[in-house]
Amino acid sequence: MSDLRILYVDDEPDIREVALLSLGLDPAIECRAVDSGAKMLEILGQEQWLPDLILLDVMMPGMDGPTTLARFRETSAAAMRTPVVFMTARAQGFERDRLLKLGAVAVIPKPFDPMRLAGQLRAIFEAAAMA
Amino acid sequence: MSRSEADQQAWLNGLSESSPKLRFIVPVLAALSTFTVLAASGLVWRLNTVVAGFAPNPIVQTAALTGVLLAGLALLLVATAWLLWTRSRERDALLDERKVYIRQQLAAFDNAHDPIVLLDRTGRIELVNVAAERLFGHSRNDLRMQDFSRLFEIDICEDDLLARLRITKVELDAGATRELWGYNDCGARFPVEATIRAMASSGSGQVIIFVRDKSERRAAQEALRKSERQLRLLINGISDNSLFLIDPNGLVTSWNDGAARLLGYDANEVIGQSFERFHLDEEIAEGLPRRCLAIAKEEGRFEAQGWRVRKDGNRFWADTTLETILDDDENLIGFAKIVRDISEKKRVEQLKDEFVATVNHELRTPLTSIAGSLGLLAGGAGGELPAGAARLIAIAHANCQRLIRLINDMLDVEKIESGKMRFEMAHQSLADIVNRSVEAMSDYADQPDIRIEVTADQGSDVRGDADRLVQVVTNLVSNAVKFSPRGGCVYVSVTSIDRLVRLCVRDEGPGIPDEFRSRIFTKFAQADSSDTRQKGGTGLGLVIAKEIVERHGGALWFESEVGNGAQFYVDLPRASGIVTQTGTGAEHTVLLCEDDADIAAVLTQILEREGLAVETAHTIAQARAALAEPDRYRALLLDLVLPDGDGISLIRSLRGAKETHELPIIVVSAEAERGRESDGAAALNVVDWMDKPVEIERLRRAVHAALGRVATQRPVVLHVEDDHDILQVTASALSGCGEIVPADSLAAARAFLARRTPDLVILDIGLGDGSGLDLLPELGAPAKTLIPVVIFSVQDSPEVLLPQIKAVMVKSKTSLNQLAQTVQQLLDRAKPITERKIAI
Repeated sequence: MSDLRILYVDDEPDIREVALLSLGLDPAIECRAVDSGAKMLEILGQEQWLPDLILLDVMMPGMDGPTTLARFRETSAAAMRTPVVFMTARAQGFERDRLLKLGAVAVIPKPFDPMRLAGQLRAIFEAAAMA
Repeated sequence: MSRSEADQQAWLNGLSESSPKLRFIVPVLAALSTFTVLAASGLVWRLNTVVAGFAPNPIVQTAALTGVLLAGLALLLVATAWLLWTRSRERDALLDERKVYIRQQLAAFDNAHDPIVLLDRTGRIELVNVAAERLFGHSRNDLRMQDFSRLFEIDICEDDLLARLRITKVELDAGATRELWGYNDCGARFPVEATIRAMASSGSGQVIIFVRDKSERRAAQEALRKSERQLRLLINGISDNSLFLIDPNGLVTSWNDGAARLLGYDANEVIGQSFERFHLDEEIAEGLPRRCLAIAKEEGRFEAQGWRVRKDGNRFWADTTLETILDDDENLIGFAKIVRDISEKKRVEQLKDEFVATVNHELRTPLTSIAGSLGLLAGGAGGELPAGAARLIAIAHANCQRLIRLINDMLDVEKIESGKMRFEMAHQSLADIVNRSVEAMSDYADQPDIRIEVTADQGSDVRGDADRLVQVVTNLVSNAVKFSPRGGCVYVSVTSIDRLVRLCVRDEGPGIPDEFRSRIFTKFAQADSSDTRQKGGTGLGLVIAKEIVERHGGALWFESEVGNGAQFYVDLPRASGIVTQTGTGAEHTVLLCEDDADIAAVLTQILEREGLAVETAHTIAQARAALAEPDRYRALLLDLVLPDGDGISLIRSLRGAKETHELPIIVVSAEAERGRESDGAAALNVVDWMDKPVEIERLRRAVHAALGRVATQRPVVLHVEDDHDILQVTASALSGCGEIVPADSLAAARAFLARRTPDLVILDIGLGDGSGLDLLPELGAPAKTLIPVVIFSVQDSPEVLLPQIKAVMVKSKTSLNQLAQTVQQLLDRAKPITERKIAI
């Protein structure tokens, strides 16, 4: 039985697969992955499966991560509370600050450590739930 | 007899020789005619007697005739003698008069600064003065009666003096100026300006020539013309750069080809026009160009980058320099403005940045998959691997990590080299940073058999960027780990030494080879390439670490003995923890929680001016600790963005505690807006949410409101100055001293003085409607006893010095800071003792 639902958005199929494998190392995490911001909004709009945390790639064709986040925040009151974590290949200091200011709770740089990813996200989620 | 008197005498003698003799002929002729008449009448009378037959005694007749003749002769002699006597007396008188006149003239001649030459009607030199002797190098005796072509280059073929001088009679009578060449005794030719005039008084046709030596002036003029021409050529030659000159009012006075090309205007379209037309309309409306001039005037130079507008309305990104031009007396005569179009440079920079960002992203994307897959395999996520396969996966994984580090380091080096490495400076504990770094490393420890021992002093606070400092510590410690022998130990220590905080990382490795020492901080330097490969380094770590440390105002250095390990040191300037202001005699203390030391210093100064003692905390934790002491602080000034959390959470917890439930809190933060809009902000009972940069007046009001007092009267400073830009910059520089009231004329100043009495007056002297000094008597009136006056003017010292003039400051030599300090000191001095301690 899962105690943490994660929705993961990334346009790179290989990275998606590796990340899903990494998160699968924690059996209590239930993760769904989609390849675009539009799909993410669609899933969330259906309200059948709501995540506890969203892991969002920044650079994506069409709608990028920050735009997806902004659209998502407009959708519902619940959307305001769901913690969002950005994952980016440009996680250098300045970029990270910019992303945090957009309302993300954390930024995970790429390449990520596959053995620690699940633990990192769990810790981030717990810290966000405490605040 | 002096020489000049002797010369005068000789000249006078010469004059008498040539004096007119006509008037002597008249009396002689008169005498002769009388004699002839008498002789003739005697002869006629005798003939008549003969004809009439009257024949008196012939002897008597002869005697009578002789007598008549003798009488006539005597009469003639007497008349002649009388005439001669009279004439001679007249002549003497005339000569005396003339001598006096000529003596006066000669004295004037000789005293004259300019050389003077006197010619007779034929062009012979009659006299030269001392200055002319000096100029031509001849004595006047040598020149006497010489033709004046001896001194001047003059046509000698003509006879007529007027023709030789190329001058008409009318010109001669009125006086005319000719440019001539003069000759000196060595035969050297030099230019002169000759003013030629007839000697009206003499009637003798004499001509006087006033000579001005033009050689020096001409040389100076020619040099000037030459240098002007060179400068013009130079300015025009700088065709790549737009260079133009502006007068102090901002009007264009000179315009080069580069300016014409860059901005699209011809010289005749812009000369005399305001330089503002090259700026954006909105900037002109904001007064930005004028402020640039005002700053350049104050600082001597002003550099900036910004948009400029061409004649056709197109914009370009420009690099501009404004430099003041001063005359020899340091008065401002204008500005030189250089404008360079750097749009292309900016575009290339942007392209490069985009390229670097793209490469970064494109490299990382496949690496993410590779590193992820390898990591999962190496971590056993893919199940148990055969020993040979596990070894291969481990190699691939380690090298993949190394490639990632290399990309990271190369990006850092690129940032360092392009000057784009940013630092978010804040108050940090270096001990915390070391602990964090070492903790993070132990997660990854490749070599678990190497111990890391940390000893850290508390109070080892520095100002820095936490992430970058972690990067430095990680680099040094991981290097030490790499070079440690199996079972070795890496010792990391943080100590405070005077004003330094020193980090030392010591290993028990082989040490640094002598030949490598000089190259250790160069890119891709490797003590031994195979060695470095084995250790998995990038060859960039120390270069980056050194740059980061130096950008923190510190130093990175090492000591090593081959075979005896290496010690790397990082020395950083120490930042103080809670700063307690003591000895101010203030009754109340406020706590300031602000991590930026510069802002803290400014706020502290403002609060101290209000008579408060200020203690500073740099983090929420420090603030919490300080506030634990009950009733110590009368108020809290709080930044919201602090290194260890959000200020709002601190406010919430303070409001929850009984002791601090009522503590007045003022927020001063760049994110004040966010705080004010946040949920439940009203319940936090914050006195004011103030944005940065903080308005001093608003802060004062808030502080006094927090302390439940009415703000005390601030000193009023009247600034009389006709230049609005100076008024503006001065007002902002002096805003901390008090209320600055600008007055741009004497009239405005008087109008203000009629209503209020300032505590101090800053006075410019040269004003549009008179001298600033005219105000002095009005400032000394009994009701306004001795208002201190600071003269702030372009002049060095006013002619009048009155007791109320406390300081004289020259604009070009005084910085606004100095002015502000002086004004502050004078205001402090003027305050009665009782008022100085502000009762709150």
